[in-house]
Amino acid sequence: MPTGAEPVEDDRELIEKLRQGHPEAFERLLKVYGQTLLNFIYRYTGDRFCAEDILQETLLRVYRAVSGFELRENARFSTWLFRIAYNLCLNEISRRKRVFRFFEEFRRYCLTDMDPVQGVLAGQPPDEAAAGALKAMQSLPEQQRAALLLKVNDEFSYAEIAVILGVSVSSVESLIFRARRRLKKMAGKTGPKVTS
Amino acid sequence: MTCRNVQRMLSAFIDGEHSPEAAARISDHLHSCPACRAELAAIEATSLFVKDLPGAGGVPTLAPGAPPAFRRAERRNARREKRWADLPGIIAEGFLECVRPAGPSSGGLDAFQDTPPGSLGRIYLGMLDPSQ
Repeated sequence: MPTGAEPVEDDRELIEKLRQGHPEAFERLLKVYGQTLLNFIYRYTGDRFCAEDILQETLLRVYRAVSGFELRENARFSTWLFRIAYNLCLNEISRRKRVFRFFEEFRRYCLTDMDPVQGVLAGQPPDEAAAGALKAMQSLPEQQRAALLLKVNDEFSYAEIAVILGVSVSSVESLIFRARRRLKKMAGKTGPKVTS
Repeated sequence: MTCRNVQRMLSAFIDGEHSPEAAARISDHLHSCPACRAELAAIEATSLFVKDLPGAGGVPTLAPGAPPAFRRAERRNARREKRWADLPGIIAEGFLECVRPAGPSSGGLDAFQDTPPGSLGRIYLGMLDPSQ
């Protein structure tokens, strides 16, 4: 499976075909970047259904914007794709926070035990260990989480992560350092979750 | 290099983000410092933890009908934008239609006389336009 870091030689050709609206260009886009994008979105948001929606929305945004997109020298198409996906994730997280606040208010008035955000909005992870791992990841601040995922799983450089997150390279270094330190502390508290 | 300095640099070190010279200095320190080696192992463990996070599973597919669906969405958006772009003009036109004095009749609604002969409105319009 290709990762976000693998150079795709025919990125320019793919972009050109996307511009011309070739149906197979989207299939190819999905084949090359779909899985890594979907995994990033899922690990970032912790929600499978939401990840699929955001992936489709990312493709739609690419379709709309690809005509004006110029791939600069030494830049990779995947950086742009991940930036779009990351911004959509931020929108979704902010929307979810608003919905969560609404349900909190609703619950306060109705005095029920339901937890709609946990039960409905956040799709159920496959098993307890996976749920624990995702929960630990979700407890990291948003930018730290994104930076660590982009580095470790998608193998972007700090400079590319800086472009995706819209921050400086030194901020990326600091974000990743703090994310790791926080996970290390969590491992110290909970024992076997973070193991070598 | 002090342990404190090295431990702050370990995260970027395992990510391969330091210059070869800085990386060599860190490696030298690690050879002689068990505490920093333990810290390095702990940081590497966090990377393994992130790598082992469950994936979304399944193969992503395009929404049925895409990209034609994208094109439809685009056309829908364009229509919506056009409607909103036309709105001020439509309102302005309606407003002018309401305040415009009755001109020569061309039938239909224009035939309706809201200022029949002898009415105050007709007298007022007569003052504005002596030809009436």
